[in-house]
Order: sequence, then C-alpha cells, then structure tokens
Amino acid sequence: MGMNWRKVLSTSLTAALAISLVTGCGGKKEETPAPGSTTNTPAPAPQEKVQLEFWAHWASAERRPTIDKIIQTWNEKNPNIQVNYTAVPFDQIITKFQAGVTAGNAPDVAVLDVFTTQQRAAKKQNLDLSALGADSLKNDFFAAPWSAGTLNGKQYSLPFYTDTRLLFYNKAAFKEVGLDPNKGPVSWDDLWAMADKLDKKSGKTLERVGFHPNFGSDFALWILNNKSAFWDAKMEKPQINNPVSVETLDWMKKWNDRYGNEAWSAFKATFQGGANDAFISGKIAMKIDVATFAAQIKKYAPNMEYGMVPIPTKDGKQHPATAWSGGFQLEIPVNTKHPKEAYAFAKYLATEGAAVWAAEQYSFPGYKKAAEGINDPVFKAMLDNMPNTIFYPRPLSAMDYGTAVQKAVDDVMSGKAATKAALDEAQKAVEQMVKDNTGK
Amino acid sequence: MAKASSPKKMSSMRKSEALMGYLFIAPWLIGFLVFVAGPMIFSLYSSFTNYDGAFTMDWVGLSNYRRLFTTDQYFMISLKNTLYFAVFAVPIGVAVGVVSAVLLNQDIPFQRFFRTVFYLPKILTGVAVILLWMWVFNPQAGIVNTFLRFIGVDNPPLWFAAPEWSKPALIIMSAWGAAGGMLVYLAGLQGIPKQLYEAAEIDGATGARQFFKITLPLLSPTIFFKLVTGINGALQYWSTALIVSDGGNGGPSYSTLFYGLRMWKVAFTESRMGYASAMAWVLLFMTLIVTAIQFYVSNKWVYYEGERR
Repeated sequence: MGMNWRKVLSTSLTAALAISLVTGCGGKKEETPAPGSTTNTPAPAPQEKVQLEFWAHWASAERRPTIDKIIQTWNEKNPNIQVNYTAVPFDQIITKFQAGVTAGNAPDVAVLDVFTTQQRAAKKQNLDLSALGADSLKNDFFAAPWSAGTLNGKQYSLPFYTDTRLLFYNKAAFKEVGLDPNKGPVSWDDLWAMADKLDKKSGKTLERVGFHPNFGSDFALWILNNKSAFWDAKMEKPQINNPVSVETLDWMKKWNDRYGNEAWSAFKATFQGGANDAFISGKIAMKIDVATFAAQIKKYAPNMEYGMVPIPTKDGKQHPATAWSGGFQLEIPVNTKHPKEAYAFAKYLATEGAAVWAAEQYSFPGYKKAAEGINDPVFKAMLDNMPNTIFYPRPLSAMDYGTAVQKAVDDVMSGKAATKAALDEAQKAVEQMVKDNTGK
Repeated sequence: MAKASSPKKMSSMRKSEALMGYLFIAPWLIGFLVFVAGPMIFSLYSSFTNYDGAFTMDWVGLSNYRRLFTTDQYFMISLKNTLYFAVFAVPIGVAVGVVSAVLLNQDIPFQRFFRTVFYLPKILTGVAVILLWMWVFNPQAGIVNTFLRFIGVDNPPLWFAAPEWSKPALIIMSAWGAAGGMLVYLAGLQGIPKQLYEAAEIDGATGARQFFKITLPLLSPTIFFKLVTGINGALQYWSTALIVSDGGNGGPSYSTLFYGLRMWKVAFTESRMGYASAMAWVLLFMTLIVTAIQFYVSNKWVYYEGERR
C-alpha cells in the first residue's frame, strides 16, 4: 500500500510537472490565434473567419452588459470578424497592453487612457491609423479628444468617450443669500463677489464655502483657463514659472487665504465624494466638476436644484481652453495580425458603439453624432461646452511633471514658499526631468 | 542520514532519493528560476540600458547609476522620507507586536477572542483600510482630532494634509497593522520554558523583571527576525502613499514621496524602466548593507540558547 501510494504520488507529480513545463514553454509559441484562421494571411478572403481580441476595463455588472451588447451586435453583423471581449483591470491594462505589444500577443483593439496615447505612439506601440484612412473621420469627432491621438500629423487612436468640465452651482443657496438662481458666475470677479455672499463660518469651522479653485479643479486647469500653459506650443520646453502662471497661482492663493489654509485643508479632507460630496451636501455652493457629475446629483440628491455654466474666466469671455477634457481612446497595437479588421471594429465602436454606450452609461462620446443624438440637458450643456474644451497632452519628455507642479502648489498654499520662488523651483525640477528623459 | 552498510545499493537508493527530492522541490525551484531569478537578472541588465518597457533597450553603461547619485533631484528626498518611516515604524511595530503578544499570552477569559481581534489587521488590508484610516485622521471629523479637541488641543494636526504630519500618520497606521504580527511573537513566547518563570517567581522577581530578564532575551531571535524583515519591508514601503497623497504625487510638499513611490512613477508614469531598475538595484544593495549591519550587531543582543553565532 505504502509503496503504491508513493508511486502514484511520484508519477502524478512528474506528470503535473511535465504538463506545466510543456505549457510553460509552449506559451510563447501560442501566438497563433483561434482555430479556423490561417495565419500570416495579410488580407483574409471574405470567407475566412478572423478572431479579434478586444480589451477594456469594464468588468462591473453595470458596465459589462452594455459592452457585451455592442459586441454582440457587431458579431451578428460580421460573421467573419468575430470579436472576443476580455475585461482587464483598470490599473493593469496599460502595462499589459505594453507587455503584449513587446511579446507580440497584445489584443487587436484596446480601450486605453487618453493621456498616454501619444506616449505609446512615440514609442511605436500603437498603429498609425492614418494609413488605414482614419483622417477622413476627423471632423466626425470633437477636436479635443481627436487631438489626443494625433502625433506629428498622424492619428494613432479613435476617441471613444470624453468629457468636459463645467461649474455647478447650488440654486437653493443662491436664493437663500439673494442671488439670482438663473445667473451663474461668468468671470473670476463674479466668483469672488458671489462667494462673499455664500460663505458661512462658525468660529474656525467653514460651514459653507462659496467656491475654491482647488476643489474639483486645480492649477493645471486654471492656467489654461487663464490663456497660458505649462509648456511651449511644441510641448518641448517647460514654462511653469511664466508671468501668467505666477498670476494664476497668486489668484488661487488669494482664495486659499480667504478661508485660511488650516480650515480649508480640514474642509477639503472631509468631503471625498459620493453621498458625502461637498456640493451635494450643500457644503460648497459652487464647484467645478466633470459634467457627468450631474448623474451623481441625480443619484444622491434627486431633488437638488442646481445650475451648470461654463467655467468662469478672468475677463468673463469663453475661449477654446476654458476647460479641459480627458477620456478613453481606442488603440490598435502596431503588430496586430488583422489591422484592417481591427480598424473596422474600432471604427464601429467609436461611432455606433459609442452611441449605445453614451445612452446606457451616461458617458459623453467623442463622436459628435452620438452626442447630438442624446436628448438630455446635461449632454446639451456638454455639447455647448465642447468648443471651450481643450485636450492638454502630457509632454513626452516629462510625463510626470505634475509631481513638481503639485509640490509648488502645496508649498504656496501652506505659505511655505512665495509663488514665484515655488514656481521657479518647479521649473528647475521639470527642466532637469526633461534633461534626464531626453538625455540632453 | 545515510546508513553505510551496503554502499553500492545505498548509493543507487540515495540517487533515487535525491532525484525524488529534487522532483519534490522542482515546482518551487522552477518557479524561483522563472519568476524570481529570471526577472531579477533581466532587471539587472535593464538597469544598464534605457529600456522603456517596449522596444527601446540600448546599452547606456553606468549612466543610470551615475545620474541617480548626481543629478536626480528626488533621490535624496525620497530616501530621507523612506528612512524616516523605517526608523520610526519598525521599532514601534516591534514594540507593539511584542507587547500585544505578551498581553495575549496571559491566561484570561476570552483569550482566543482577543487574539482574533488583534489579528484582524492582517486580514483586513488594501485600499479599503487605507480609506478608513483617512477618515480616522480626518482633520475635521476624524476620531483622532475629535479626541484631541476633547482633551483640549486647540489646533490638532492636519495629518495627511500637512507635510510635517503625513509621515507620523502613516507610522501610526503601520503600528496598527503591526499588532497582527503578534502571532510570530506568540509562537516565540510559547517556546519559553515555564519553569524559568516559576523559578524567578520563587526568587521573588517582579513581573517587569521577568519580562526584561526572561521574556525579552528568549524572544530576541524572534525580534531579530521581525526586525530584519520589518526593515526590508519599510524600505520598500510606498503603495499607501499613492492613495493617501493627492493624485498620488507624494504630497503634501513631497512629504510622502517614498523611494518606492518614486520608483513606481519612474517606471510606470515616465516609462523609464531601465532607470527604475537601477533604482531597484540600489535599493537592494542598501537593504543588503542594512541587513549585514543588523546581523553583525545581533551578536551583541540576540540570544540563541547555548549557541553563539
């Protein structure tokens, strides 16, 4: 018995090992896609079935049914280009995509964060879609998300969904202090004057804050809103300590001093979104947020009276960069075996698919027609705000420059450093970053 | 182990035994070679290149290391933060672990219940717990500041919102987690012979004296083990800072920019895998040096029954 048992154990162990060895080594060779498709056929004949792999980060019970539906529609219409969807966790998808491109087993289409699209393009990880005819679609999409996928005149992604930022204001609070609830702030001076009426303090504690530029928005937004930028037009040279930048941060500091750094920090740390959102709970009367924040108001405070206006500017006039947008893009890895089919599917997703997604998921599509097709006041407000919305890319030579800018903001707000000095320090830090990254 | 009666037969048996032995450790061995040693060697190689995580991988010699020690503006900042954390968090963690283990070793009613409760921090981990702590340290509504105000502190700290208080807050957080480490100490305590305490009691030694003269010396190998692993862990500490600081930027004012966080940003935000690999190897060498020093000093205070090491 004992010997037998040992034998069984050793043979099964060897077998298990052998299997793991075989699969372990075989894994790399398994690039061959699904059965039924012969490999290395550049343009498959119509009868041949192509299997496409598609990645996105939508795994939840709320998101999954919509994307499944969109894919099912495609699969039914295109029996020869079948798409298989895999949900990859949000925090892993970029790295996995990158690793997949290097190893040659990336998905054929992936939904990826818009701020890193150009970086992948520069590193030749995603496919040049201009070669497949993407340029003809340019005017069908909003300029901001479209530009996010453009590098050196070539297009590397199609926008899926995007967003824009608006100022939300609490109409009940406006009425309470005698402000016209149908007139939101237009200029920076309006914000200040309205906040004078809306602020409520009891002792050191802020009972209600009128507005703070560092809540729902940050320095990165205000510098654009103030018609300047952290970088030169080519996105090569930092200009973080430029005069407008100093002026903008001074303006933010003025707001911070208005409430006091300690009281404000305590206030800010207390409200972190959801039902506890400062705006929804009436603790802040005006705040900037992604326009779809409206959905949260609907969820947590369905009876709340609020208004939405474009983000106020210094002179009260809107311009093409008063707000910024982010979002997600569809990208195709450079070494896909089915570029044409992948592009066809990506195009379908970005247009027809985006329309379904927008209607069910309340995300603002990058595709103009899809956005126009939705009859909803919030979508209307976003649509109207798109001409004032810019996509501001991250410079390829200093993707992480925000860390240095954040340090300057922290130092200025807490009174540790003067505005100019803090921004000079940030400028120096970012210049060094560029040097390190470009090897110059 | 081997019986030397019939050498030839034994040798073949030993052979098959050795083979079996290797077979049994093979899954681990292969796992180590493929998933640990392989990537390590790859990262060592990458540290001498400008590897970007994709197609670029040119040899740059020692340039990454040279930059790290000369022009890198974040190297010293992040190293200081990390050392600050390690210097406070590790000893406090050990103290908390030992004290809670000694308490939970007492024969009292509900002993098992208390042990479970103290072990909970080890099970409850991840982002949810960090978010919970952010509430505990909330400057306005958190229980810490509510308590401080109650006992008369007018301006309690802003914790994660103030550069000088963010690290102490993280250290307190880690001390809470360290209570879960009592399990190892508890095992060490069980190994201390009861008669030592009995003899001490007969001789009239107080509880405190027993603790310092019997418990601590006999627990010193366990403490040493936790100290070494604790310092290794503290030097790699970073993920909590990612969640706690605004936008994961290591703020306020770089106060939570730990070495590991900086390394992660270099690797995954800037895609400078080669440079990040160099950072990782420098960290490994620093850890090795610290550990070597600990082993050297351990001769002076770690007691192995009857043995000198």
